Amino acid sequence: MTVSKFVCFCLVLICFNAFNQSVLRFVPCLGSQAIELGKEYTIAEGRISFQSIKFYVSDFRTLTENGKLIKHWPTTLVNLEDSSSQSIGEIDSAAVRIDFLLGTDSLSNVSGILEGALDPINGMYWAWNSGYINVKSEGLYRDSTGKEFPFEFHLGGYLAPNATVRFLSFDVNPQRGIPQLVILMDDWLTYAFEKGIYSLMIPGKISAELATKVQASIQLTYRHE
Amino acid sequence: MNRLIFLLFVLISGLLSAYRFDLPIFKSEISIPKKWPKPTYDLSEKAISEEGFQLGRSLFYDPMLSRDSTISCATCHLQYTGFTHVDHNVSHGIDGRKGTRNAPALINLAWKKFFHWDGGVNHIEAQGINPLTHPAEMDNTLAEVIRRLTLNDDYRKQFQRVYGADQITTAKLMNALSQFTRSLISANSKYDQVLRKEKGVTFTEQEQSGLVIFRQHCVSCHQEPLFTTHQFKSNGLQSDPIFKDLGRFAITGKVVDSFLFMIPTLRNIEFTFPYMHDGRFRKLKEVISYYSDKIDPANSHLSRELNGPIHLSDKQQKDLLAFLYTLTDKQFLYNPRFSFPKK
Repeated sequence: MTVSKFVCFCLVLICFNAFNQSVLRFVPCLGSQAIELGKEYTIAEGRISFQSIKFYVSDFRTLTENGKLIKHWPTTLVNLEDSSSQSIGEIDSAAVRIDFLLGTDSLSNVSGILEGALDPINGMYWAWNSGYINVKSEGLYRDSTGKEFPFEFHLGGYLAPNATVRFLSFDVNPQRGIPQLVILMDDWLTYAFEKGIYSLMIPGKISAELATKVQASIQLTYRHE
Repeated sequence: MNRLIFLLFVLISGLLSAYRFDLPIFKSEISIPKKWPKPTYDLSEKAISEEGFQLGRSLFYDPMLSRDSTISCATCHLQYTGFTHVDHNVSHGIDGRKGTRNAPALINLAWKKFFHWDGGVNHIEAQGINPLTHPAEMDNTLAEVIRRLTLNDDYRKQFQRVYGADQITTAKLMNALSQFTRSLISANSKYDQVLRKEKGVTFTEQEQSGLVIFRQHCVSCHQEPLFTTHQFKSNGLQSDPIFKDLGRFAITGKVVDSFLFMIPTLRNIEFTFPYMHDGRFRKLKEVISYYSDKIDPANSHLSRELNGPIHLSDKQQKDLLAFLYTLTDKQFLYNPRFSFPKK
């Protein structure tokens, strides 16, 4: 390979990387700050740190103006321990809408043991009460007096009326910047803490209620490099 | 002379029966018994291969799956007692830790939709995760189980043979285990033989009387031929003050499901003692006596099938017991195909 060819190859790689940065990402945030595990943040009148944030995204689709499917992604597990898992994929310039399920569809919950993102080895499967944990968030909250409250939210359950999977749909315009889906964690965690709920590990009415709060806490924004 | 003929007859009968119990059952015998309902799970050769069955069997008997390699599935599910934990009201796992429920018998699982006493598990392949990871049972992690199996040349080869790729995953592990557990079909008790009108097999007068009593008082929950409807019911037992087990309520969160437990099969009931979800009755006659005379009609959770009094006489109770013994299937209990795989 000549020097010029090698330079050319490097340029292509650089361009490819720059291009790749336009992929849509899920970004759990506290206020305007993207969350890093183990780091402490201010929330309400206290401090909070996260040990784990994981959630399933299923049936992610991009659609054209006339509703035609552009691309469909398989179920993915977003896990803050692995930043690459936060990237869903590139949004086509023709896309005007994205929609997806926050969580796993009911069929996945009754189909035995599945592979890949849905492998129970990922720690998002309830053995005692078959089904997936759709959203998991664990950490430590310290109130204004310094009292500590370890928290564990495992939101799951696929049976009506307390199913926790939620449908979301957003208008999108890739011309405005790189789309990202921000999850305002303080919105739903503050709601739970104010009710004195710090641990939730079973399906039921409260899980369903919190799943709706998580759904409402997701916003589509744009970032500019 | 008569005595000699009698002794000879006993000797030949014994030899024949021993030979029969030792008969290996081959793949072709994994089939749906005639007049039985359609199973929930596929029992065809497409779903259960000989290699898959044998892999599942090896895993079922391998203590390597538990955290300290001391406990296998078979520890709490012994074949000769209908794959339950004989003589233990509740089973003990690693470090002698006790659970809160009686280990259920593993019989005709292919016909079940839900698993465990509370029906919390909705698929036969999902069932195995519980004992593998429960702290009072095998106390392992899925990641560690997969790691150990992957490091084992023999298992890697077996998984390769069954699934065509040597990467071992949770799904393959659970599928292999279920190929074995789905195959645990018991359908050759004296009861079955009588119903099939097999030559020379008939109920005694006492067993026949027991069958009539059974069909009058028990069959609404213990429906033939599976001897269960797999529904969740309360038989009126007061909750154990130590276990405080709310049954199905723990899964659904519905008050109406409080103290409901899945109706167990009565097949091989002679050997699956102790009885009930918490193993509180050690003898079958205690169970019959409970249903006959000790149910509290004022119990608000009592299922409607038990609303009316049963009140069986001593003779009727003995007759019923005699019938229940006809549900023993020794070919199943001693079938070498289901036993520890000797290499």
